[in-house]
Amino acid sequence: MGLRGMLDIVKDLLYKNLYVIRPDMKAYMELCLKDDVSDVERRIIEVYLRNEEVSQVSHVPLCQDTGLVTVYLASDVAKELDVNIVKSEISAYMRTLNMRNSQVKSPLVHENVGENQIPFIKVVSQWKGIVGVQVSGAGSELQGFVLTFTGSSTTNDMIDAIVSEVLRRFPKSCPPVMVGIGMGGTLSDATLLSKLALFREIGQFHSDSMVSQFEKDLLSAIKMQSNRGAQGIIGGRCGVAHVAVEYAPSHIAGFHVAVSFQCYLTRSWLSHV
Amino acid sequence: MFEEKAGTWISYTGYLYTMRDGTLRRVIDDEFSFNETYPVYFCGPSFKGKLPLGACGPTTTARMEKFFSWLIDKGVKAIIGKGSLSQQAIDVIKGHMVYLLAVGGAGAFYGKKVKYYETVAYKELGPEALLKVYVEDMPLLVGVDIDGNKII
Repeated sequence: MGLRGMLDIVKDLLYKNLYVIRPDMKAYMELCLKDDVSDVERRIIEVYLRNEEVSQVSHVPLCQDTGLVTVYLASDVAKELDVNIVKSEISAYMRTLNMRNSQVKSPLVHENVGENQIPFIKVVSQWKGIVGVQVSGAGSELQGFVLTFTGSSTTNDMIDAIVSEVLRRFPKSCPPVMVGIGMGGTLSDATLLSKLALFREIGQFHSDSMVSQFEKDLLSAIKMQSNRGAQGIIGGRCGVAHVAVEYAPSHIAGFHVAVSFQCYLTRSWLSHV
Repeated sequence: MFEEKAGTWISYTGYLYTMRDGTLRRVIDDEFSFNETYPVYFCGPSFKGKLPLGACGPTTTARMEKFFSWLIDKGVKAIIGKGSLSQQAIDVIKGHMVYLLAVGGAGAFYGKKVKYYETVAYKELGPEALLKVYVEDMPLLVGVDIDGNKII
């Protein structure tokens, strides 16, 4: 495919992150509209869908929070590419997408840098022949969290703790949300896996049956205990669209579980190259 | 003004001030004085594209809870943002301010409701500048009404 072809794919994925609602989330919301949702929830979802039309016509991103951009490259893809070229090409392309200047200098210096055109690049050893782009806005990103379990923790211990924290946080993340969970490895592995899980399609469960059962148990526990819908409103039904789990081997003494959210825009797009 | 019950949609036409994390820190540090009182919209616009402010949906209101007492002291009667509030914050605003919900993540949709704006202060903060914005037919959902009833 070559460098130019790969870069074009990454650019296309970035554009879609900012201007297109992912088709599986759109399908989920359209199903919600067919369901017996309240008038309040219905109107919110209708605004979501209208938002996409205005965005594309006005060349204004779906959400003003165009957040932080991360490009994920499978390690075999990264071998063929010069990561610095990817960074500079994507930076240049970002300047054409009407993104907000959302970056300050550092957590210690609240000084807007006047642009937010620095994409983060991650090489993913778990992937082969895949590139992905993710846009993290504060609404979802800042609700992410990490829990730590010991080697003697049971599956039920994990479900109880994860569900309780998810219920507390997801209503602030512009639901319906996608919940990405990363388990095991080091702290950085767990958080990366939680981000990779967000690339999964809504309704698609893990290929390992034990993991997929865990995902289904989490999803049904969340749905059963939550009465929050779109935008987190009380009495809603469509608050959580999916739960996806990715895992790595863990230490005998314990492990971390990282949880990341994505709002109704589901700004995680990937492509096989 | 804003007597509707929680769960009611209203359509707002008029002026708003935009503020958020950085703006609120500055207006308080500087003891900024306002000539008029308008609803405060927790929002940081993108400023680009074919709409006056670009995309300008609401940001997460919970981050602003610590500023609620200050806003009440300034006579603000309505705040606009997205997401749930703590019960403690609801107790603070009850009887003083209503909390109106704009649909989060619908930045382009709300951008279309903006007719014009002026920068009041803190231009250097970029999207966190203090703006006075005129909106037309902006749909808002009463999230917490004046009696403290909530839908969020």
